[in-house]
Amino acid sequence: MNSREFDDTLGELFRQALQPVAQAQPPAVVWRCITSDVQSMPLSRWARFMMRLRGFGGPYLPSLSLLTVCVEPYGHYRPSPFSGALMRQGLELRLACY
Amino acid sequence: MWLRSVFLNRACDKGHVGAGSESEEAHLVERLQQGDLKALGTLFERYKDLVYRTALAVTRDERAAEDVLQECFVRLYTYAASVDTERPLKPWLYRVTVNLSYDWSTEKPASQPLDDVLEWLSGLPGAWPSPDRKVEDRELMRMVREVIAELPPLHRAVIVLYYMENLAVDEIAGTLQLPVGTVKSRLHYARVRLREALMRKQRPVPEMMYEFT
Repeated sequence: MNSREFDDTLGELFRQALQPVAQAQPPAVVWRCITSDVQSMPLSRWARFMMRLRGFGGPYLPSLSLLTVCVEPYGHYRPSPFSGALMRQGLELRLACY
Repeated sequence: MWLRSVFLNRACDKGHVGAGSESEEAHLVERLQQGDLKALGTLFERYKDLVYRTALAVTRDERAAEDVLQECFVRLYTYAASVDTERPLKPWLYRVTVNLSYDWSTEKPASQPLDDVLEWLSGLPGAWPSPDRKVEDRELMRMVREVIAELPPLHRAVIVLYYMENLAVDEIAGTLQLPVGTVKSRLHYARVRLREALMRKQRPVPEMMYEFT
């Protein structure tokens, strides 16, 4: 058995070992939790508006939160470097909306 | 509120399951960006297994996998505007799932003893394909799972995406934003660990030495 064939054999062992996980299914209750979370987002449209305003990958002010994060393309999050300024600006805009 | 809840549940129930075309998926994401919850239900039905299984394999904890699944789709809804409709959604979901699973693993590194993980894996349906499987095969599977469980979470994620989700090396590199060489080296490292474990198992017991004086 050459090295490549041996690697294939090891890979097959990994596949077999992961097989039970590959057949697992999530419980139905998760969808209800998601809808519950989504329904309790009163400012989600406002948040999306902020994201469009700032452009792709721009700073975003999460709803009902005083912390800002940067949402990067494909799901990475990091603290915004403009946290303080944006926080003040966001709060002022929210107060103006109310 | 009640009507909205009924609508949401129906949206999920009626969700089209199965692989859709890329244009159809882009249309769904565009609808999601407009706040269409029915689109979220359809995407959930389509990708819930993928997210759940990946999270389960990386975290090795059913509750954690449920939490990751929930958080992943809440984030999809919340940050839909940042999703590029011209690119497939799957890599975005894989990446958020792996990031969330990694966060969970680093926050709770010692919450689950290895023996518990192996026992849990053995109890899942399909853990042993053949009921009359030999004891040696069971021990072998246990050893392979032990090797997987002992890998660092991000190494484990690469193994899961490659061997369970059947992604190509360049797809994994793109999804996890890693160099192709890093993905290859993590796969190689895992195989080396397994090979070493196999060799340890097959090492003959040293014969007892008798001294005749």
